[in-house]
Amino acid sequence: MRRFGILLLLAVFIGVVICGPVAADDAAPQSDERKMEALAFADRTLAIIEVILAQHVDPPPRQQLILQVLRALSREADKPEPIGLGRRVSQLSTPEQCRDLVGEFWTTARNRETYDPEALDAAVFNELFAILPGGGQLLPARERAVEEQLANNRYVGIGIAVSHHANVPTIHKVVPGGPADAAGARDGDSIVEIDGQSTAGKPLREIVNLLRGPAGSEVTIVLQEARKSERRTRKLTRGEVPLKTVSHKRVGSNPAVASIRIERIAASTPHELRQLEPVYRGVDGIVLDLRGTVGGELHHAVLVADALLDGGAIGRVRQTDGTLDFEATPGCLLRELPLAVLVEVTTSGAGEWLAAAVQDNRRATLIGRPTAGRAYVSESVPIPGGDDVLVLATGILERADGGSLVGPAQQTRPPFAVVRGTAAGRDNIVVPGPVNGRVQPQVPINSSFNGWPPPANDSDWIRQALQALQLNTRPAAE
Amino acid sequence: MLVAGGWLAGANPEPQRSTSANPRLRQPVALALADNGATLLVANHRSGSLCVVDLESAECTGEFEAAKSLADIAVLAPGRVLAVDEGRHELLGLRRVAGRLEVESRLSVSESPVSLAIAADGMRCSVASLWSRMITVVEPGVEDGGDKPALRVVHEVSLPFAPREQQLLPDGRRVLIADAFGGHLALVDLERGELESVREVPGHNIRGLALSTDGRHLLVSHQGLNRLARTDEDDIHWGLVVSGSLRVLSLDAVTDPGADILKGSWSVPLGDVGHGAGDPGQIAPVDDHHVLVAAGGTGEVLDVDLRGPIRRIHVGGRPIAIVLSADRSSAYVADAFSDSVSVVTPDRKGLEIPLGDMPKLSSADRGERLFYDAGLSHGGWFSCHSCHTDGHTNGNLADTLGDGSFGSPKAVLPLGGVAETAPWGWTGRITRLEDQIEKSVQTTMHGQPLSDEQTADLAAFLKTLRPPPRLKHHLEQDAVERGRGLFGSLRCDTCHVPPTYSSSESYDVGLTDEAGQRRFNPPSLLGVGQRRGYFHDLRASSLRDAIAVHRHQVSRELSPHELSDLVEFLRSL
Repeated sequence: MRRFGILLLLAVFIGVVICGPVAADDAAPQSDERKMEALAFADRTLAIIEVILAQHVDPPPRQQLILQVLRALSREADKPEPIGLGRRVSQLSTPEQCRDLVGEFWTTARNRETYDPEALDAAVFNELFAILPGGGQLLPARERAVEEQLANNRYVGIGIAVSHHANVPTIHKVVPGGPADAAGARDGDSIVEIDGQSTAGKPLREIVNLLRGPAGSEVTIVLQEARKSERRTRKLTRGEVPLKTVSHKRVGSNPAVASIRIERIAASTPHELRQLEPVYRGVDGIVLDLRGTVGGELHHAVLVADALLDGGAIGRVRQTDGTLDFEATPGCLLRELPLAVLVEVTTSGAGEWLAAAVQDNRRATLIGRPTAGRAYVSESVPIPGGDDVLVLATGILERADGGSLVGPAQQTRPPFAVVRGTAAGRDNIVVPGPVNGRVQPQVPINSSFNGWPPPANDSDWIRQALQALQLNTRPAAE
Repeated sequence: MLVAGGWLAGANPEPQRSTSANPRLRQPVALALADNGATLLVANHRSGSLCVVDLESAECTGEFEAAKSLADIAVLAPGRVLAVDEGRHELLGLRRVAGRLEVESRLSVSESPVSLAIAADGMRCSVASLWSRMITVVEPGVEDGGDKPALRVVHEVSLPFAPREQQLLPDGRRVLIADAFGGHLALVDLERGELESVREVPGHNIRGLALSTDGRHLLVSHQGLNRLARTDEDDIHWGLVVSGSLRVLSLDAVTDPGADILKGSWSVPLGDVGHGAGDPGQIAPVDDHHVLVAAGGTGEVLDVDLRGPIRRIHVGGRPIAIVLSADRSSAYVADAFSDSVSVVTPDRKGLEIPLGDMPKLSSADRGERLFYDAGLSHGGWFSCHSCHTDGHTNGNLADTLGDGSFGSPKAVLPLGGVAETAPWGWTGRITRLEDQIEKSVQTTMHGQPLSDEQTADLAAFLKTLRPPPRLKHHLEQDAVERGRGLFGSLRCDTCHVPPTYSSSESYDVGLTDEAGQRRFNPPSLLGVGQRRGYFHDLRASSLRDAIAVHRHQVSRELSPHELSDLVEFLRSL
């Protein structure tokens, strides 16, 4: 769930929807073929387990991971978990035995009439990753490449988020400044043709692949505005589509503060923050909103922390081969202005590491509610024998003095769950997870609001931030 | 006709006017307005000549030989001009007589003078000397009808860093002096000849200092190098490794020697994605919100609105000096590599006034232009000079792939004498200069791959770079000799082998970097006294610390005398 934010963003860009179950074969497959499939599944699953054991910063034992897979397979087979399964797993002593056992359970799941390989895969790995501290995610290599582009904010495409609307690919959002925007595409337009091919009936994944391509390459799309019949043909050149990771506005006039929100931490974030200094240097204070801030790569979080701190220790990361300490360089942004940081349970991962760093260096007053307490940092690792990658927690972020930002009971439950209200996202409720290792704000907020996403116009939080910064009085004349 | 080559020695050489029919490289580096803004005086670094530009007719009306290598120029009084000759280490007093410029007095100053500032009352002038780290305070002398005024040294103020830019403060008697390489700022009282404070701003390559038009701020243009960023394409793309800034300091904080110099300050980032504005230089403040900054690495003048937006005006090659016209409606820019003066108004470029014909460029000349070209890097954020300042080092740490990995930032190495000290890099893997050049451009700068000719040109230029002169400061010869003996008896010369005081192997000297690397190639010790930090991670801030605190390869305890002697010897290299 740590990757919730990136996942959400990816979903916005890829709009992947798994379309319906695969139609079942008419003929019954050979039993040899079935055996090969069973072993192939077992090999892949065990390869993934080995990667977890080698690369995860603090993995559960092998037997527990295998047991989790078997339980998932039993559930998929719609059969009760056999008694004594734990004992059986404990007695496994060779790789062949592991393989055979996993293959056996897979075969049972395979025999169900409603067998769907993708759904089975997804279900098994969801269960497996549920017991991994920091969670996990399997991605095809091509999606990993996109994620890397997003992390470095060098995403190459035509600059739209696309989803399915009544089986027709529709532009959910046009990214300002991108090629599609320049060509006049609008939110809500359907994409009727791509490079001469009709899009009707194609799964969304295929649509996305048709739209993607290397920078500089061209694609011709035919757009149709919602509820109109007129069609527009546009030739677009794919290019880098920079996305803003920082949003900001001036709030109030006397005192005035800059309200800066870091949506996610990416390579461009320190650059975007630095551009704000001449704009806001005359205000009385800064309110930095880290609610819902999704931290991506450790390297980028280090650079953002460095941008906010004038020297001092940032924090450390504990990895399988040791601990790395990070220290901020001299100089920082908006050095002269008092800083309040808004946090709550949706501030997780590198976001809460950043909050802890500014708090520990006495650079900022934290306001709000305790953070998630789930400060893992993930990397993607290739799975041998295929072109998938596994995204998993390879590091645990800690405060500079070694203070934990992750509970002693490994954080396997998500930091919060969003219980959805209506489909439009209204009335969602955030349910906080376990309490340990969370960054505590100096100024707790008495707000009963627990919705998601955090509101854009937030006078209540801002007012309490101003109070905390002692800015609710007129500043002394210079 | 021009007297080519050699100079007439003596106190008052007859200056000759050259014609533009004789092509030469001039390299204009400093400008001064004269005749109530009707004339521009241009100091040339390469040719040592002074050009006189008539601004109304927009042409160069005269060129006068004056020096070996001019670094700065300023008007003292109507008809009287001061200039510094970096090549001969002299301050020159010149007189303008009947359309000619004549040198009327010369004064030897501390080695390598690079800038000058004149106090408000004209009674004091400050000459900053780079490699000798000295400020020479001179009395320019007054005219007293008939007698030629004499230049007289009044004070000498020693600095703990190598100085370059200077800015006179509004009180008229104190001057702020900036570090040529790092971020130090010194406050010197010219009357009393005292160093009042030395403070530091984060950053390096400070190449512009100016007072704001509202009189309340000091503007500083500089670059920054972040050791936490990596020289991969993404970090460079977003300007996270090297970037340029215009820092606005509060004048109150600057003039109070005990104050935190950054109090009340803020910065305007000068570059953006795709136009990095490499190597920001001199500043011309237009009004309370507008400032012009020369960007030497990208051939532009930046029209900076202090509230953020920046416009770019393309001018000639390597613009480093800029002055406002008398009516402040336009500015004049010295294009060092185009041998011209560009005229700009705050949104566009006007004329480009050539100073004379240029010859065909040699390979080393072309290499020099590449060295200072930020276009060699992805996005134009930095040139070779941004880190290897003028062929030396900015004294910072950079995380490059020079050591084969990221995560262990290392000291930027100086390039003086680089051609003679193969192999290159801290881990000493590259043995061919052209390979090192290509590796730097590709893996550190992520620019377009160089053509073979460009690589050869850069190599030719690098071969012209000499190690910096030693930091003289009255070296005690006896101590130097004793130190030399110690250097041998302690077997330092095993790895730091004369005459380059380097060697081709890599050694484990008890130092480890973050990636676990233990073997390092010993850097040359020539000019070692001119560096600001030692070892791959700059852990030692002085030569003394390197030996006494870090005990670098000393097999026994050294007495305080022995330590001093050894340091004196090293400083003599």
